[in-house]
Amino acid sequence: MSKQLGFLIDMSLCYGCTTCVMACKSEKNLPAGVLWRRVQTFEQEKPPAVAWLSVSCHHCDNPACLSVCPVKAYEKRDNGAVVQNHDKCIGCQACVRACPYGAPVFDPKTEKVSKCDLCVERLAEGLQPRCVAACPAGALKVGDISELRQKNKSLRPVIDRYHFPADSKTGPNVVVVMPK
Amino acid sequence: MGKQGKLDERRRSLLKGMGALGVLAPVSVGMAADSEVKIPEGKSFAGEMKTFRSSCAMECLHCNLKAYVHKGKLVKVEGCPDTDANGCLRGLSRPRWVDDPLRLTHPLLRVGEKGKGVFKKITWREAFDVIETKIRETLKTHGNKGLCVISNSGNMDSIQNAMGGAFFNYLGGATMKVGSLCCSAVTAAMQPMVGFRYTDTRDTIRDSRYILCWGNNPAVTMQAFYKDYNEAQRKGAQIVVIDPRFSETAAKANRWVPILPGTDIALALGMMNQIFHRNWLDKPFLRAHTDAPRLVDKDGKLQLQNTNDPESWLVYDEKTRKIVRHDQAGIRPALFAVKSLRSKGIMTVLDRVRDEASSWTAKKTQAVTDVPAKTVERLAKDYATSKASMIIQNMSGAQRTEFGTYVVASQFYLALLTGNIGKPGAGVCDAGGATQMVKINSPVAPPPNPPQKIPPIPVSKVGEWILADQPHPINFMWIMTASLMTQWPNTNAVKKALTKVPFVVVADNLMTSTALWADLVLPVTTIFESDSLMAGTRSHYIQLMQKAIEPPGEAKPDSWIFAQLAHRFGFGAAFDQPMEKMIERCLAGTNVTVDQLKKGPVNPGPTPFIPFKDGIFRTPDKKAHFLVPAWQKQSFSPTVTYREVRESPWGSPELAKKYPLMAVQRKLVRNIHSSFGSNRWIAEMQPNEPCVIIHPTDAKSRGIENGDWTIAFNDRGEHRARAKVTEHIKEGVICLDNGWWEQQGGSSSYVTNDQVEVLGNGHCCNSTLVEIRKEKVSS
Repeated sequence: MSKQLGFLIDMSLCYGCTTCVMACKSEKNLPAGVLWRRVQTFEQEKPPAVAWLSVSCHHCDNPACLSVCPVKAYEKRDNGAVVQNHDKCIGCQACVRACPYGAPVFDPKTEKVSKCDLCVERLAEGLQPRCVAACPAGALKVGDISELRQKNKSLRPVIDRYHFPADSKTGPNVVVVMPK
Repeated sequence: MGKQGKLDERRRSLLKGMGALGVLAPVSVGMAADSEVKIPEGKSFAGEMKTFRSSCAMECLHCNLKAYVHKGKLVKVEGCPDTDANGCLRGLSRPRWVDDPLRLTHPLLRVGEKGKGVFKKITWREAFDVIETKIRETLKTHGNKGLCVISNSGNMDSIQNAMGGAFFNYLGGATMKVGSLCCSAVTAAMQPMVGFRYTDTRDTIRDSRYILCWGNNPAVTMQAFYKDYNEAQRKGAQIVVIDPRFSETAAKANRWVPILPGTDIALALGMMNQIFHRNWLDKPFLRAHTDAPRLVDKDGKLQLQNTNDPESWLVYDEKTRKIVRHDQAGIRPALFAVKSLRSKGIMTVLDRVRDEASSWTAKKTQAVTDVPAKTVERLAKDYATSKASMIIQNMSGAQRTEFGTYVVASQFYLALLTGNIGKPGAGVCDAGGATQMVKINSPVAPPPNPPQKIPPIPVSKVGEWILADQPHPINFMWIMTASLMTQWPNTNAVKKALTKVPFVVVADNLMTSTALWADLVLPVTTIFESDSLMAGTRSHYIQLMQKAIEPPGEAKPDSWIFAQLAHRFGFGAAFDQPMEKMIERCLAGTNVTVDQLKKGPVNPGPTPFIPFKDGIFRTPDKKAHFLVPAWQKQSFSPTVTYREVRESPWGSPELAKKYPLMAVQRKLVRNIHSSFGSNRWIAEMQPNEPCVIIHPTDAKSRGIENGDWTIAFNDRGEHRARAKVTEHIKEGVICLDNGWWEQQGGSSSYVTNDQVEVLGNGHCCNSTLVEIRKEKVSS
């Protein structure tokens, strides 16, 4: 089996600063209104609690975006990254509708869709994805998903508690460490 | 139309006026496109760009930043993990500060009514002509005191504000502000008690076993360092947050202790009472490193062997049972006075502290603070016995209250009583930077003649005093690195004052809320547009601030502006120096050189830095002082005591009938004071409208529902914000956002208290009463 990279999101370390979102935005110089990474905030009244979950693309085993794209703009790379060829995109938004995780983002100005590419160019240069490198808490990691899963096998707790949309058909490559 | 309708109408017209600003003001923009610079195909930024290093210079942690420049444009900013912090979203957002649509590019002279934002472009020569004329006129008609200078924390580098101050000193002096909005109460406590300020404990947060974040929210205000809190917690430390609001830090902490605003001193005294009662004192530390054993009379006056020798304090020697001079060899000073002495009205300093604390039973503490008695006991026990315990004060909201100096002092009392200071993982964390390790000089030599002594204006009273010509009329005002219209309390008074002063210069890089009220606006550079030095009170690193890009239009550094003006007033030679020379002047005596800094930031160390290590304090006698005669000279107790805050339901019951809610302020992730307030990248990922946090009970009785637009108001003014109805705030308290611009509907400072903090000329924004109503929707 070839290598599959994925993100580890450690909610126990995250304090919701959105530096990862800014790092992604600035690295990719994304157009106004387009964010490839977002931080969701969960608030609870009794007892009071707040938790944050930083998400982007989960670079699935069977990416819905890839399978529905009519122009084959998406490819799955050897390292498991799901990368879009932006020139091919016709802006039909089929991927936007198909992705259970909201990863592809439509830009009404250019009428095209784009999404997280796992900073494949940075990885090739031996650098971490910008979100991972920028997180002041070290709450994001990227790595071989089978290694990242060794300690945190199941997404069940995050599905139950934060309604994390985990579609078994797509096989998301993400590990979430729950807040304490 | 009722009163409310009129107010809403007024705000709409104000907002309309703001909307017109972009049309009327000939402010050059033309570079708002986000995607002007294309990323080189198939490459990350890393290999393709020129890079430069600088420092994020507004009032935060001064993280070192790396600028990536492509074809002369700033395209990306990264944090620098080779220092102790990795930056945050605000530093990374700076490409959008540089090309903000509100960016100032030319000197602008007001042509319309003040505050309407109608200006005409003029040249620098014209600007200097008018400034020179206005200064000379003012000197002739009002004298130096008719000039008023306000600089603040918008740029805390080692050059700009120092040049501004020096310029007016060379002119012979000007009216300055006294005190600070952030933390002069901290200075008023720390300077006499421990002899030094701006000492932080960040290097050993991870070694702490118990971290008490007191009215402070480090997950937002020490964002780049919260990793260390996480690490301490991972190693088993407890993190406890004392705050009326369930803050971001509270969400990460082990325990949230909600408290009534302005009662923190009572909580500290309640904890001290437990510490005395349970004998959790570090007696060897108190004896060796504090003034605890010194004898005082019942009024707190120090007993001296020789009244002409202020250092001849007396103590009671337990060995010989005699009163002796404190520094006599071989003695064992008593921490508490024997009965025979007490009957004569003589006691130790520690007796005085214990006496004050003794009435603060857990029950009484609960009655005042609304912290449950059991929690008071537990806080005291955990703090005193966890070893090492750290208090995160960090210029907290708790000290932005009427008796803020005592709040800070009471936290130092806790640390001193339990010996939790001068050790890894202990201490009271203040803001701190390189200046705690090395002395940094002014970039400009002092003037040949000392400036006149001119009575200053307490910072909180800038609006009211200028309006009342107090202490004297102001004819000319220079505002730099500051936005009075968003950050100073009592905005309506500030606005009227800025309208009243005949000539107001505002130097800034954006058309800020304050620049709208200027007569002359001067465009200044942002951090990546000129060379400078950061060696200050927020980062341990001395950092070269490198010019990475050309400034837009004719924007110039403040230092250049003062150099040009200095020539016109005959002292140009002292000011018009190459930047490298000025930096060398700042660094003289530090053993740090410009060449060293060109290779990267330098921490003049030692690392880890432990303030007051081994109990050696920076007072003249090297000891920590519970007793502060300076407070006594201001007619206050020389030791910490609890006083009721005047603007509170219990301090002003009549006022509280009109304005029953206590308002506190919070800092947001989206800005640092007002800086970054207009940044359009941040606006995409952080809430982009003012919010007021209100408890469900308080909301319900006012017909306010979650998401409603509301008006918080009192006699000073009103502030519009969207309600967030949640139990994440104490009942009876609302929380307002700090830093919203006039152009965004106006700052919460419209309602905040402009009373002067009593002992340190500080700021009492968290001693504010308001009422809140649902905004009427116009039909």
